[in-house]
Amino acid sequence: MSEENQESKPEGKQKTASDKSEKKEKTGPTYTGYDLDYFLAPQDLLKAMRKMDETGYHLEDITCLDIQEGFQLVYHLDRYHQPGRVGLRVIIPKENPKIPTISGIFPGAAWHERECYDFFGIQFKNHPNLTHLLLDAEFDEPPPLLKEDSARKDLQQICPDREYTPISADSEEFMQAIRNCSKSKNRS
Amino acid sequence: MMDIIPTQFIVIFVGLLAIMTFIAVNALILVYLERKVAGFIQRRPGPYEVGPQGILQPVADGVKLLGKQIFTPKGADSKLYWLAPIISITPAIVCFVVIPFGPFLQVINSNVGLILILAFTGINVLAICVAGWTSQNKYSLIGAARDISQGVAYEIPLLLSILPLIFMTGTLNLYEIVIAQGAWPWQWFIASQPLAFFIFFICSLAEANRTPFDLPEGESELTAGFHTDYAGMGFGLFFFAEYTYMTVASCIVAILFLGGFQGPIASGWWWFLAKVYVLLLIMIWIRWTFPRVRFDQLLNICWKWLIPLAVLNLLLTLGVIAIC
Amino acid sequence: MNLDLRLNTSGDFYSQKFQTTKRDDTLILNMGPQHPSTHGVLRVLLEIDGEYILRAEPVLGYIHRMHEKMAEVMTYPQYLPNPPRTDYLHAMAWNWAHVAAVERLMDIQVPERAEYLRVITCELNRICSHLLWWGSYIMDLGASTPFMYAFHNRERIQDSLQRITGSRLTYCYYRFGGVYCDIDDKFISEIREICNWMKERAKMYKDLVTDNFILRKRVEEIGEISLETCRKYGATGPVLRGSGLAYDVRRDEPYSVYDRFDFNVPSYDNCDAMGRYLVRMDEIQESIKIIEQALDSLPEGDHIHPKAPKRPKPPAGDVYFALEGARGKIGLNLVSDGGKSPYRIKLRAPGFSNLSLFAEVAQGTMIADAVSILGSLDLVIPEIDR
Repeated sequence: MSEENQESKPEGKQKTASDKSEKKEKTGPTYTGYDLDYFLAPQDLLKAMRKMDETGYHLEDITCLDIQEGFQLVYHLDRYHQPGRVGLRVIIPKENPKIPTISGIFPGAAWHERECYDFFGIQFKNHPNLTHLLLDAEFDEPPPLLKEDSARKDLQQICPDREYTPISADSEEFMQAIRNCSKSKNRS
Repeated sequence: MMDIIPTQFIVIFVGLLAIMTFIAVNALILVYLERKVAGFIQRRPGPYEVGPQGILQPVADGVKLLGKQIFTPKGADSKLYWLAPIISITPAIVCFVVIPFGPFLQVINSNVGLILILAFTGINVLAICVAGWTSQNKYSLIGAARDISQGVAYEIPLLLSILPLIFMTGTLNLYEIVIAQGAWPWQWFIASQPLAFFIFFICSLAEANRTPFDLPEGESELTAGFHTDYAGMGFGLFFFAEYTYMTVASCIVAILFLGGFQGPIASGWWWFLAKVYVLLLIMIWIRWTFPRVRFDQLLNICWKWLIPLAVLNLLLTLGVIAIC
Repeated sequence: MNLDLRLNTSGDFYSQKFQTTKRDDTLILNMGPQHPSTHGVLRVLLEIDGEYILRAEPVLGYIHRMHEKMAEVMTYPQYLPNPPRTDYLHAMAWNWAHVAAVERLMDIQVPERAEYLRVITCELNRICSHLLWWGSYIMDLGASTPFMYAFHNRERIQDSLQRITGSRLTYCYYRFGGVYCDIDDKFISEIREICNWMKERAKMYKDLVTDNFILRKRVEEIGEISLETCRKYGATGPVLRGSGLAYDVRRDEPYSVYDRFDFNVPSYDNCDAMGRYLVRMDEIQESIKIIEQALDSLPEGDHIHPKAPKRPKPPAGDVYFALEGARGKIGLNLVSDGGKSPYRIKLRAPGFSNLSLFAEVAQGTMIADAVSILGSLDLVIPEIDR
C-alpha cells in the first residue's frame, strides 16, 4: 500500500536515531538504510574515526551537503562482519570550510575527500594531495554543487526525524552503539 | 653482351626478381590467411566483403597503406627513421637466395647457406632498435628495448638446437641437408631430432615476434610497441617484413627437419610449399589461441629451459655419433 | 637527434606535479587516456625503472559528466535513465539503486512478481557484465579469441532482454514501484535454454582458458591485495572476495527477495588476480542458479504497483540504498526536501574505491603486471568518473 507522506512539521519529534524502528508516529520512511546515525563535532572526528577503524569498519563514502547551517559532511561506514551502516555527520561553517582529513586512518578517504573538494570547495587539513580529482586541474570557477541562496534548505527541512546534538566520540554510548550495530535489529 | 655480364649476375638478378614476386604474393596470401583463420577460430566469417569471400582484402589493405599520409615524427632523424623499415625488409629478401625450393630451384647453392640465413635474420634486431629509438616516443623505446633482449636471447637456443643437425650431416649447405634426408617422414630429421625441432620452432616464433612472444608490439600494453609511430608504407614494410621472416623461419624448419622439397610420391617444389604453408598455418593458429608471455617469463623460458635442453640435445647427439 | 628523452619538462599539471619527486634514472610514462587496455578513459602516470613500476598515480575526470548535478536539476522520472549510464555494463543494478532509494523514502511496497523480475533481469545483466570483463581481460593479456566467444554469449542474453526492456546495453527497465512491463512465456523459455547452454560453455572456458598455462602465469601471484588493504580502501565485490572474505550485499544486507534463494558466495583466499578471476567465473554460475530458482518460483501478480507514482514527490528525508553490482557495492544516497527534484543524490561507485588502491598495489610490479591488475579490478571508468 503506498502512502504519500506529508512533509514533516518543523518542530519535530526529537527522537534518537537508534530506536527509529520502534517509533509509533514518525513521519519518515520505515527504514532509511542507516542503522546508526550520529552527529559529531568537528574536533571529535578523528577520534571517532579511529574507534571505527579499530572496530573493523570500512569507509563506504564521504558525501557533502550544502545547507543553511553550513556544509554537512556525511561519512558512511559499514562492516564486513556483522554488517550495519553508520552515518556520521559533521557540520562545518560555510565561511571557513576546513576539517581534518581522515586519510591517515582510512587511505581510501583521500579520493572521496578530493571529490568533496571538487564539488564543494571543502579544505581538508593535512591532505596528502588536495588537487582536483574529477574536474579539470585548472578549474577556477566556484564549486559546481553549491546551492543558490534561495534553494538552500536547513536541517529540519532535509532530515526531520533526527537527533541534532552531536554525540561525543569518547562516550560509552558511542562505543557500545558502534560495536553492537547490526542490520538485523533495525530492519523492518 | 652475354660475355660482358657474367652468368652468375644474371642468375642472381632473375632469381631476386622471382624471389621478390614470390614474397609479395606470399605476403598477400598470408594476410588473407591470417585474417580468415582468425575469423574461423573466433566464430566469425573474417574478410567477407571485398571480392568473393574477401579474396581481394589484401589488395585493399595494400592500397590503403600506400595511400596514407607519410609523416615523420617531430624531432626524429628522418634518414634513420625511414632507414629502419628498409633495414628490416632487405635481409629477409636476401635470405631466400640460398633456399632450395626444388631440386633445381635455388639461386645460389652456397656452402654456408645456413650461417647466411641465421646471420641475416639477426639484423632484424638492429632494425627494430633503430625504429624504436628514432621514433622519439617512450612507448617505442620500451618496445625496442624489449625486442632487443628477446631477439638476442633467443638466438642462442636457435643456434644450439641446429648444431646437432650440422654434426649429423657434416655440412652447412642447405641443399645437401635436404638430400641427406629421405623421401618418407620417418627419414626426415624430425624423427631423429624431435627436441631440436621443438626448440627451433619456438625460437623462430620468438625471433619473428609472433604471439606468444610478441611483447615488442604488445598491442594492449604499449599500443603498438616499436612501430607505434609508423604509418602508411613504413608500417606496411614492417608488417611485410614480419611475414617474410615468418616465411623464412618456416622454410628453414621445412628444410632442416621436414625433408625440404622431398616427398613420398613426387619430389618437387610443391612439397616444399605445402610444408611451408602447413607450418605457417600452425604459427597463425598459435597466435590466435594463446595469450602473451610476460617479459621476465619470456627470458626465463629461454635461459632456464630452452638453452639447457638444447645443450643436452647437443651432448646426446654427439655421444651417439661418437659411439656409432 | 634529441637524445635526452628522460627529462620531459612539458606536460600538463598532473605530469608536472608527478615529476617533481622523480629520480634521475627513471622514466615517466603516461598510460594515457587513450590506451587499448585501460577500459575507458583512465590515465595512469607511471614512474618506471626498466620494466618495474616505482610509483603509479591514476588521473581521473576524462569522462566526468556531473551526474550528481544533473540529478538536482531534473525531476525524478527525468533522471531515471541517468544512473544506468554511469556503469553501462551493469545498468540494471544502478537503475535498481535509484528506483529503490525513492521507494524506500516513500515506503512504496513493490509487488512480489516485480521483485522477482528485478532479480532475474539484474542477474542476467550481471552475467553479461562478467562475460564482457572476461573477454576483455583475456584480450589485454594477448589472446583475442575468448573475446568473441564472450560476446556471442552476451548476444543471446541481450537479444532476449531486448524484447522485454527495449535496450541492449543501458537498460532502464525499472520504474518507481515495479518494472516497466511484464515478461511472457517466450522470454522464460529462452532464458531457461540460455542457462542450460551457458552451463556447458563454462566447462569449455575452463578447459581452454582458465587452465591454460600461459594465462595462469600471467594471472597468478599478480597484484596481491591483502584483506586489510581492502578494508582500508573500502573495496568490495570480487576484489574483496578474491582476497578471502565472502562479503556480498545480497547475502549480508539482503534487499528485495534475495533471502529466498539458495546460492553460494564464492570467495578464494589467493588475494591475487587469479582469485578475482575465479570469483567472477564462479559468480556467473551462481547467477544462473539464482535465475533458475527465480523462474521456478515466479509468482503471479502485478508487475508494477497499481498506485505507483509516475511523478513522485518524496517527503523530506535522507536514505541510503546499497546493492551488489558486478563490481562491488553500489550505493545511492538520496536527500530529498519534498520537491520534485532531489536535493542531493550521491552515487557511490564500487570502482572508485577499488581503483584507489591501485597506487599502492602497483608499486614494484612490472608494466605488464599493471595491465593485468587493472584488468582484474574490473574497472568501468564512466562509473568512477560519473
